[in-house]
Amino acid sequence: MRILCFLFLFNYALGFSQSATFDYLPKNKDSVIVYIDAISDKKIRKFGDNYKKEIKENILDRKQRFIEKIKDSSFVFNAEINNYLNSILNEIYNSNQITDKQEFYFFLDKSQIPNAACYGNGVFTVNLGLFNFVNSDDELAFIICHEIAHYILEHNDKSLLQYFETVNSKDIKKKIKKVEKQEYGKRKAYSELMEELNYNFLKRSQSVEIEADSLGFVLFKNTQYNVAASTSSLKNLELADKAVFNEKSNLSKHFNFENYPFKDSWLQKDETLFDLSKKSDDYIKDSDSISTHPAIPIRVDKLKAMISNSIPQKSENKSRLSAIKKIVAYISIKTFIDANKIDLALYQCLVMYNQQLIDKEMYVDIVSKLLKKTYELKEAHTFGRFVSPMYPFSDEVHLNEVKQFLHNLELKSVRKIGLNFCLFNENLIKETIDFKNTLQFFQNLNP
Amino acid sequence: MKTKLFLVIAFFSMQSYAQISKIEGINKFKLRNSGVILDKNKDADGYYFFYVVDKLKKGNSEFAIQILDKNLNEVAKKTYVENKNTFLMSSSFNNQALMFAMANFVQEKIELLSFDKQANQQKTVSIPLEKKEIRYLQMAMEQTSEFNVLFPVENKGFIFNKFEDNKKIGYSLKYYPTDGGKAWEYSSPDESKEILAINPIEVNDKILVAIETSRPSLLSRKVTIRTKIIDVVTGKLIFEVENTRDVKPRLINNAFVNSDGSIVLVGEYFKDGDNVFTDKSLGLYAQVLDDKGITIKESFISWSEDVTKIVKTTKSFLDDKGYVYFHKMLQTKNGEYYAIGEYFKKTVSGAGVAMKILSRGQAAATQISIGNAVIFKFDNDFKLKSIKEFDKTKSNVPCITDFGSPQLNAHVVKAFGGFDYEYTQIDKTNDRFYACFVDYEKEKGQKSKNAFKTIIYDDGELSQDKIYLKDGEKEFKVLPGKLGNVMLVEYNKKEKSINIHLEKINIK
Repeated sequence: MRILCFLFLFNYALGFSQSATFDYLPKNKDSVIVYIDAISDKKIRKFGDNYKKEIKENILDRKQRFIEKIKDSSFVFNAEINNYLNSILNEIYNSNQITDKQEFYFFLDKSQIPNAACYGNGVFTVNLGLFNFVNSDDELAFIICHEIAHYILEHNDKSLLQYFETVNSKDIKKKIKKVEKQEYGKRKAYSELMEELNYNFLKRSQSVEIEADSLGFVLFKNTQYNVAASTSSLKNLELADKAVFNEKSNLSKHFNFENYPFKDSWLQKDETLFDLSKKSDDYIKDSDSISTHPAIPIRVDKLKAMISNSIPQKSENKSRLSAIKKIVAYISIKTFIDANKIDLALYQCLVMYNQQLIDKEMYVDIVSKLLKKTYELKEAHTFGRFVSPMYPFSDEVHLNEVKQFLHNLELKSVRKIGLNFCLFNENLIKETIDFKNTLQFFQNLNP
Repeated sequence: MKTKLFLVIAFFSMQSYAQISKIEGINKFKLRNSGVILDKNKDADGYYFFYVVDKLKKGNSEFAIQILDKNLNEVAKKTYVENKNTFLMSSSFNNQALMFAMANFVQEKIELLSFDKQANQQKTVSIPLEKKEIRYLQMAMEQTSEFNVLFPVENKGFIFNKFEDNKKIGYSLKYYPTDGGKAWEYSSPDESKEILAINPIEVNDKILVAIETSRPSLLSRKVTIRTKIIDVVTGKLIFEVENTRDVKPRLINNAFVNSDGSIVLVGEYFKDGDNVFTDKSLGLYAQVLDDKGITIKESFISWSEDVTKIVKTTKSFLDDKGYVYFHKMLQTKNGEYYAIGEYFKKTVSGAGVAMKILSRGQAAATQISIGNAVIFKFDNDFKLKSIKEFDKTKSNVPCITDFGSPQLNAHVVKAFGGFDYEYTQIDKTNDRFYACFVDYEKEKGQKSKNAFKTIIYDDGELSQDKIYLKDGEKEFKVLPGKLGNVMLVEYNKKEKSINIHLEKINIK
């Protein structure tokens, strides 16, 4: 079972301490690349002579982009999470006949969007953000079953073929020629053609999701997991469609000091050109808003009908998930810091501390370092390069508040907050070298 | 954050119908021009990008106006169909509406296009232009970035500043309300034998302050400047203050309206009979007028005595330091005045002399040498308190003529953007100002490089911040941002990528 070989390679001993280790590159990077080469070649062979050149180009391009993603630190490798995923995969594999399972590889994408993906060649990704939106192993297991169903049903391959069949069809070629010859209104004609193609694609995409739910459910119900988790996982993720970061950070509690009280102006919002809840775009047609996925309630209803014919429900397994969530949260903070995503790192750290998921020492260590980093980036006029501005149409009100706070802070405020934060917490970790350096940094700035 | 749950990765999906989009340029929006939506304090309310989208019948084009908010988020993309020669000339925001002046000099017209707070397009206003009016408009806009074609009246409306092809040339200020009030027009007399131009510079909810210049001909040295105080609700003239060449010649730099209704005019004063554009001023002045136009107080700071006393030079201030070109004068909350300028001198250029010989006397041998930035501080009685210099590398700009005065040449240098000064942003809420310059820094032992320097007034203190405009493979362009910020356009030559971001101007 190839997946286990890969996953076990990262299985170095690691109980969750508050310094869970992870890597951005797999320890066996070369063999992972050999594996990706092999599955890509296999896929090219599978298509045979059908649009041979175009499909080969597409698959090689996808391969290259994926390898770039690995090299670009888009994935993280952590033994604890891998072990956890392995245990779920083992249950799915042991309960079902999945012929290609030895060729599966699950990567952990550091993205905070709650999602998982099937690449159609044996590669799957699970985003770190997904762990925040599942409440049990069972829910995660259903999502994985759904992705495996995409693979079994060859949805990627069929979409690829359909794409080339469409763009090479006589009808489309004729339409393209007509657009090319048009002297006036060419862009509009092009836009309408694209709209037609997108609409057809999206309609198909919705139908494959329903298919993946159905087959995913069949795989899922063969396991020991609770079948009801299939619908609850979808409902949880429906919530994530609005906002991913749903907890308050309580900024004013964290940065209110006797010598330097919290200022309301730090959270003051900017005046806007328009009073809009979404972008006013004359170039987005109503049909563009059609999703790749059918509405969650429709999917839930279809699954409910299948559940009623299933075996009695079992209790859901949650014992390891809370520990895994802590590791995920810690890794997320670290990846944010490494990418200078100060806003996300600060938000995540404050929320975790508010929820007592990290201890005070770690909280002080992270926040003091983030304040130092904020000062350094602002001083070099590069802060805005890394911390994106507040997006007026975002549902992420809590994250937006942290962004607003960080963007509003002036250099002189950062140095004062930094010093006061360090002094307030000095007794806690004053012996730590990193903290001593940070304190010294702010003391030098505040003579 | 909208998510698509349980994804099948389909690189070949929607946007990437790559084969189709290969049709040459078919789906590309061609950028015609772009700009910052600025208010009178140079606070960026947003940004616009004006694209040509599609060629249509009857010489028309489809255009797109992409609108970014002050945090660089795209908030609207609006379609606009007009004649193909249209361009977006000016933009303005008054908290109630966003207005664009869409110019078409081939068809000789300007359309005022506005959007309400819901980004819905309002009825456009079409303003026909004469050829002569277009010529004067282009001249005014080329000569100074301070010429206000479209002037916002906060929460009330917009003023459009139009040249009028009268007997000579005149103007009209056309007011378009956005609050349900009445439209009005304030125009120069049709029969005037003078060339008249006007520039609105200050407004509140009651009055508009506009500076009118009047001269018998374009090249005439006899300039009369009238400060017009106009009722912003009715468009009626309340009063005007006249400064002629013969009686109190003055060059007005700025005007402030106090909460008690009094008006403060600040600028340079001259000897009676002097030309304000070509002669050396006697010094700086502040004139306080009541709401009826009666002068309550006048204060003068002379170069020869007051300024020399502060600088403590053995020679006169002008001989020692040179002339000062004042770009902006402003007032802080405590009533103090600040004048922002740059030193300049008219000097002989080695290269200019050579060119003069080669061109048989056609080229000018002299140049304007631009020196340090300088800030004059005055108390609320307009007594000079201090002069602070900020180092800049000396730069030289050739004169247009060897015979013109240093002042005349400096005005020409200003019109062509030859000074290092960029703009001054005023933050009334926090009682700050940010005066921005671009300096070509030459330091011993180091490669010369451009630096964007900002002199900041905060808490009664002046400090400076600096952003280098080159960093390895990256080159930067700086545009005004929201208050206290700049927008950095970062071009990476190696990656051929552009990254734009806002950065705070640092007060340490």
